[in-house]
Amino acid sequence: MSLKRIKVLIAKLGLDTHWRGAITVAHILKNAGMDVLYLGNSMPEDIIEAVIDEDPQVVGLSSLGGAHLSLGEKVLELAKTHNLHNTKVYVIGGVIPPDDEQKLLKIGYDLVFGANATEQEIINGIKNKLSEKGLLTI
Amino acid sequence: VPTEAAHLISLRIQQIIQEETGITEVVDPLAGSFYVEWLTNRAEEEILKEIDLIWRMGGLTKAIEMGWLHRKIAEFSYTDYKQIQEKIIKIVGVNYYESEKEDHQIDVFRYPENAEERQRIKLEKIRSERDNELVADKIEKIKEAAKDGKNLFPYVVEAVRERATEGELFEAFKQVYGLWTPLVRI
Repeated sequence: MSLKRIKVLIAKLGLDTHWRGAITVAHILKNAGMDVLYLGNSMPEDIIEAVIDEDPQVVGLSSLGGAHLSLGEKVLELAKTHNLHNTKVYVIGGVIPPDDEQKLLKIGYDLVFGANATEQEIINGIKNKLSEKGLLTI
Repeated sequence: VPTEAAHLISLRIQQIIQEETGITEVVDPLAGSFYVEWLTNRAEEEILKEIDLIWRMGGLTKAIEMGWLHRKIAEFSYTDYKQIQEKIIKIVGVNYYESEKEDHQIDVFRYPENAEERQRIKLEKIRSERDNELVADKIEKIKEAAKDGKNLFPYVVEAVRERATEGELFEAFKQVYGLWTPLVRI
């Protein structure tokens, strides 16, 4: 029996234009057999709207512009308002100082990745979180 | 945004190269080096090949509209990442000669907490002191010129002289040209 394909939505948080990381991770996840949707630059409201429309299991946000705390928190606040928090895995990555990593996990992100994250760390991290949250459907 | 300490390191590196190495005393210190000349020729060849390809696509604007340029960057980014992971590209301290003991304490620049508030107050002040009708008129002129495909520079300068803000200019362009979304296929 094969696993149902994991659907991932990837977005760049806010106006930050550094999209190489996001697109690289998108390729990694696609090569790992996941369905990847790249939303491009989006504000928290647009991201949540896309989550409602597309219903992915994983939401991956990329931030290299320093807005990971302010906009990152807004995304999860909106997710909670729409009751979309427990039914998805939220991942954030980019240039994130060590102190902020803890803050993001506390806000409710399931995974935080820095620039040195390896392909396997990202893929396994996502799969483990999906199964922890009971979202790996067979 | 880099911290002041980071700025200083960057400035000092440039000053050392400029003042201590003597590199600025010669126009082309590497001239005549067989290896550098060979590398330069190779780079030139590759660049001209790409430029030729872009011309045949109908120019850079077309290449961007077709998604060619962004696809190319995306492919390069992924290959680059793979090669760093596989240590084909070496980055000392990252994937080569890594050290457990190294201190990774990094000073991070933080905007002052009231930065946004301060900027808002400043904007409000500007808007209350300028001639708003005149600004609106100048913005309208920009939009008309944009629709006619004219050179916008003089119009923008005029609007900014009356203290039009960057946001107002951006909004005008957005209304005329719309927003562009890069074509990125995963």
